[in-house]
Amino acid sequence: MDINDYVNEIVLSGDLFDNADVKFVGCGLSKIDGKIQCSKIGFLRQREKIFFIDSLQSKYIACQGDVIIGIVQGRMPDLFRVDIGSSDIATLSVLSFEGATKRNYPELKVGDLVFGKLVTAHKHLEPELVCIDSIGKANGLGPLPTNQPAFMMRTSCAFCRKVLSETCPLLSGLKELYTFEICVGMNGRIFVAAPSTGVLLLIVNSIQVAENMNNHQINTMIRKLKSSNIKNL
Amino acid sequence: MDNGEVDINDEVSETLVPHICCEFQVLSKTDGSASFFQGSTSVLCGIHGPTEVKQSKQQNDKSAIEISANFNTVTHSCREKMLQEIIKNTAETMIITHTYPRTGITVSLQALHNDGSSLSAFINCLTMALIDSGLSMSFLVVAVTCGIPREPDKPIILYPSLEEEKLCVSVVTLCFDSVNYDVVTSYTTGTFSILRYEQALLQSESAGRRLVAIFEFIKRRSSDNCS
Repeated sequence: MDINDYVNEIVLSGDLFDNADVKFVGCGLSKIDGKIQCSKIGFLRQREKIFFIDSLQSKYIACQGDVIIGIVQGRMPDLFRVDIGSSDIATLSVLSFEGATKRNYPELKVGDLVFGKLVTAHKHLEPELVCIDSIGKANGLGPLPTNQPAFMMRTSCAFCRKVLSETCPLLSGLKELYTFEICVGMNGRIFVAAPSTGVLLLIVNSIQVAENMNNHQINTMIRKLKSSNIKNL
Repeated sequence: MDNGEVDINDEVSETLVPHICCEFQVLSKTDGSASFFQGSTSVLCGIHGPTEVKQSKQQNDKSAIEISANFNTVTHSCREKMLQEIIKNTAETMIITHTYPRTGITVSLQALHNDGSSLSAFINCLTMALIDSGLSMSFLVVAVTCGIPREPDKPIILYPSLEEEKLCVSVVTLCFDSVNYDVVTSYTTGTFSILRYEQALLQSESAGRRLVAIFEFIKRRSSDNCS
């Protein structure tokens, strides 16, 4: 089988491709005996010369550099234990917030939501989160606001990646109709906050049903929302 | 086809396997689940993983796979335990456990209706649930059950029903991988000659190829809207 024929198609574990000329393969693929073998199930994608598998796994596997939404599970003297949806509980140091000092840091309680970035995520180590970037600014990370009506929903990881991509019309369509705040975590969690509960429920339902829609169906949904002209929510 | 691939619309190979029906994501709280109907035999499977496990069960270099299978039999004996071990060994060859060290993968299998060929239904359902969960796997495993009749001139029965199994002198369950179609698991009951076993191997391999084509077709159709 030629790998170029299967780009953007589903591949299953064990599928073998004969291309010996491909030098670099991405995640989910490996080179064995000059052939390329798939170890994950998902869509085969190509970026320039590298092939990789866009996995359809619903369980989140921690990956360095991912921005994720965590739920605070507990508190230790110098750090918070945060559930990120993977097999291990992640740690979040108390000083990893913008402007935090030993005497002045956010008092997070059990159940609070945190938007952070994974700096350490290896299969043999415990994952570590931070809520600042390399120069010490928050840049959107940190505890998620609770002053407005808000909701956190769980979706699959693949859907979160799709929502964030440029080709998906969902967010660009919704933002023209309503005002809301959204945080998409790569671990399959989406947080939405809106000025009123009605708008919040509408946005949450639209995102949840869009999980099983293709782009054409999403465009139809946005058009129907626009023409229905729901006001006074 | 030349390279051993099976055309899903081929009528000859249609007779090799019984009517297959499969549904993904039947259980909402699991990481992967499938319900599998193989003729009249049906099985439900749910997979949780990779999750955190107790220190005593943790393995430093790989994931600990735990299988809990309920065969719905009236009496519970060691035979059920042995079948669970067989399913566990099959799962361990399939899943690349080195990707998830110090974690646990829990598999729960439940027989909904047993009309023969139950071990192969369990393993096929397990494969489907693993496809749904998206765990790292080296290949897919398909299972075929053969019934070897008492009379030496009668043909081998593929996927015998409960009635047909009682008339057979031996029931052989074979599992094949989807890459080279090598034998992964072989579980036999009763006695049989080597010639009969080799006949069962060849027939099961053809049925296995058809099953792999069916599994791929099912997954591709169910993910049509996702891309």
